[in-house]
Amino acid sequence: MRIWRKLTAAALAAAVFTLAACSGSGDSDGDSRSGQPQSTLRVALQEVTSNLDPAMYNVPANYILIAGAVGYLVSHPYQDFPYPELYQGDAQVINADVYEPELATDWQLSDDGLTLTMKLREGVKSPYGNTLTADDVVWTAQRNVALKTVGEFGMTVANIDKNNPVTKIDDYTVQWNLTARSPLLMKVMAWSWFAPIDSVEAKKHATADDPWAQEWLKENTAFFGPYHVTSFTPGQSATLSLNPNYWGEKPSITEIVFTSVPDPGNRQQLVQRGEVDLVPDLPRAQLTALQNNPNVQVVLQPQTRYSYLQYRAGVEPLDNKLVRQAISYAIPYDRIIKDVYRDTTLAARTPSIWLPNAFPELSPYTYDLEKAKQLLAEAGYANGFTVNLTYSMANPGPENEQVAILIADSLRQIGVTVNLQKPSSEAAFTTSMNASEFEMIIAGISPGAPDAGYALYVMGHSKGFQNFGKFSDAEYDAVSSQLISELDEAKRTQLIEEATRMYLDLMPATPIVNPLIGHVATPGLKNIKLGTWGVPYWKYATLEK
Amino acid sequence: MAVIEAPVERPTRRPARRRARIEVAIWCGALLLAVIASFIFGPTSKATTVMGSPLEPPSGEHLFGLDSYGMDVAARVASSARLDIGVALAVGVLVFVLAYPIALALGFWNTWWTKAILRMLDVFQSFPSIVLALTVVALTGNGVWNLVAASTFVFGPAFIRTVRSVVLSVRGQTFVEAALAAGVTPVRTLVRHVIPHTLGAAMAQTTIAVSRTIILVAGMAFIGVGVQPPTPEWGSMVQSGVAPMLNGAWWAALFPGLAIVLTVTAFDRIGTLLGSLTLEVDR
Repeated sequence: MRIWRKLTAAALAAAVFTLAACSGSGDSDGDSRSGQPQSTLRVALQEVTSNLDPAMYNVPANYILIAGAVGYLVSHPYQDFPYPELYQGDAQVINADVYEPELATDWQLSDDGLTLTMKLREGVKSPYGNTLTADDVVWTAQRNVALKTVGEFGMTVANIDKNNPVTKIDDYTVQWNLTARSPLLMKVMAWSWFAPIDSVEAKKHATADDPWAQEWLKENTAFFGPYHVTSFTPGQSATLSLNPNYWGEKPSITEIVFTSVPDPGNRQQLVQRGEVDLVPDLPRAQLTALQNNPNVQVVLQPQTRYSYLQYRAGVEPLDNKLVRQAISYAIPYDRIIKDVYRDTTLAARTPSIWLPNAFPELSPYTYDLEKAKQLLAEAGYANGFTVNLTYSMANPGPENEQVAILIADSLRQIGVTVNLQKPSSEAAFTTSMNASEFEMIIAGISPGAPDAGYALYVMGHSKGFQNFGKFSDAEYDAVSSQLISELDEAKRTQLIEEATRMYLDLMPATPIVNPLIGHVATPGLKNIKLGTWGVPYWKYATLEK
Repeated sequence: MAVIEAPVERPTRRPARRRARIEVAIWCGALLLAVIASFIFGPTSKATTVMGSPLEPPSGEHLFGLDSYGMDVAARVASSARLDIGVALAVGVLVFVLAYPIALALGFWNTWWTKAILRMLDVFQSFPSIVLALTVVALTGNGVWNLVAASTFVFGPAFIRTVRSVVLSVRGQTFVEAALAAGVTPVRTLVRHVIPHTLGAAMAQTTIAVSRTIILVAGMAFIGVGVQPPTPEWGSMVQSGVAPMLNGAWWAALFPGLAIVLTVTAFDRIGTLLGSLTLEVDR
């Protein structure tokens, strides 16, 4: 008798389950708040970062929290997306060739191009009440070099002298020192790693063993921007509050509360019910299903972040370029665009994607299994081989698992057995990636300097910051090194073309797709403007009922 | 002259035991059929191959539809039976082989070391099972055998405590005391007198550990620990199918969920019936 009761209960539960699901997306109960413009923005993320240190800003979990809040030296204005043939929606992107003053009000490059004199805005204060001076810029630059941050890499590509990157001229004037002229200098000045840290406050927490206050900056922020972190539980939640001393126009949103909600179903329900205002990282299947939901808005915007499949040098047979080319021909690009991203992505033909002076037409790679098998046979692997593929659910996004499965399924058809490996957390994935502990890896990059030459350098040069596969080719290094020093525009375009051809032949990493950024938000959230890294700049956002 | 009539065996006892045995056989047969069916309808190649666009609804070609990876739900549900039932049975064997001797020892002897072990078991049992399992997996890594180890670690203490209580009860019986008094060694007493009277309870507890393992493994896969996609596993299938349910794609989570319910029910029922049969034998 008891067994029948259990089975009946199970059947009833299943029926309730099914009915709940068949009701579809359902109607929201409506926003729980009503009335006037809101000053608190609630954001649900798959994962809140566990480390606020600017030295760690190289993964989405970090900079989605902070990059939109720091005080930049310079910024870029916005323009309509300049490639309507690629994307016909209504979207604005940064104009990476134009610079606007922020904490730096004026800058002059010397005639020989080897020094950049920069004037700082006076009267700027951090949340701790300390005034921005040249000392903060100098300390931040030295910190970047000492800790080998992405900022230090920025100095490399901008040819900034790492032995003496910046000199204090007076309290409000600094001089950047270059070893050679660079077309990327001002682009890196717009990076968050060059955003000055309040060194007066940071030094209070420095010790002999920790001269750069890493322990303190792990859980605290000290910038001169519009927001700072007032509450932080690593990996779980964080709150950005308005800097009471902010120099600029007071943002409409004065508080941003981030909560980690790992399950995408829960995140969807939260934004549908109005319990959060923004979910920036829903899987595409859910995001596209919400496009006709009247209780939310789905905002799609072009961005420079794209996903790629990277190969570890020194791992047989991935160190054979024919094998890498074969794999590149075996990736089901169209299927990924259609089935995984539901046509909310652009193709990524080269590392330069659609950046100015890119050459996407040079890429020969389409989904061609016969060609892939032919190349494998030519490489001596007609019978295939076994390889590990590492991926995460956040870098670059929650679609990675589906992409990884599709790639593994496709590679199986050419005899390549792929073992999928998903580290237990984003932090573990980042550690593996940074330590080059993988055979193949799916990751994402948003070229920090939105420049085709920079993108080719960072992905393929032996010292490229995103070259976690430790790929190295002397000829490619020679060509791509010129990309960060050649100033003549025509010559540079020729070099970009040459480097693109070389890259597509050597294929250190295969670009996969360039997804549109998709945010699901309550209808009242407006002005979601994205910065260089595809993250929202919170100071522009407004929230109304 | 008084007539002494021989006692008549109550007619309800034997038929009830027969019915119980038949029911156990039916449930075991159903589980065996499920495993056989998993080889026929859920070969690994079919269960891990992308068949079409994600979340296609059930059709003639794909009876249970396709999941969010574009893989056949029916093939994956069937294929997963091998893994989930296999892991559960492996845990059952390990629990029986490792924990039963410990339970016998702890119930038969009463010394300082038995007390120390019991206190240690108290500590382990104070943790929620999923927390303990996650800790073991965190230390040993993801993977099927690590799951088996974690589940054995989680369910072993409960097995030991329950079977030990039966051992204690048998240990106090007169025939055991008589054997020891007659000079039979403790080990021989255990083997000849205690094990036969506790084996049924141990087997019942084993099936309970097996059914709880299925729930534990499914729960851990639900939170992304243990078996990784595209390896089919009921818990991870439910996990990846829950979010699409919000948008009407009910099939990806429902069918693996039903598989979990039916399998756990089968093992639970087997355990209950074995327990009742054991009680009948020991009367």
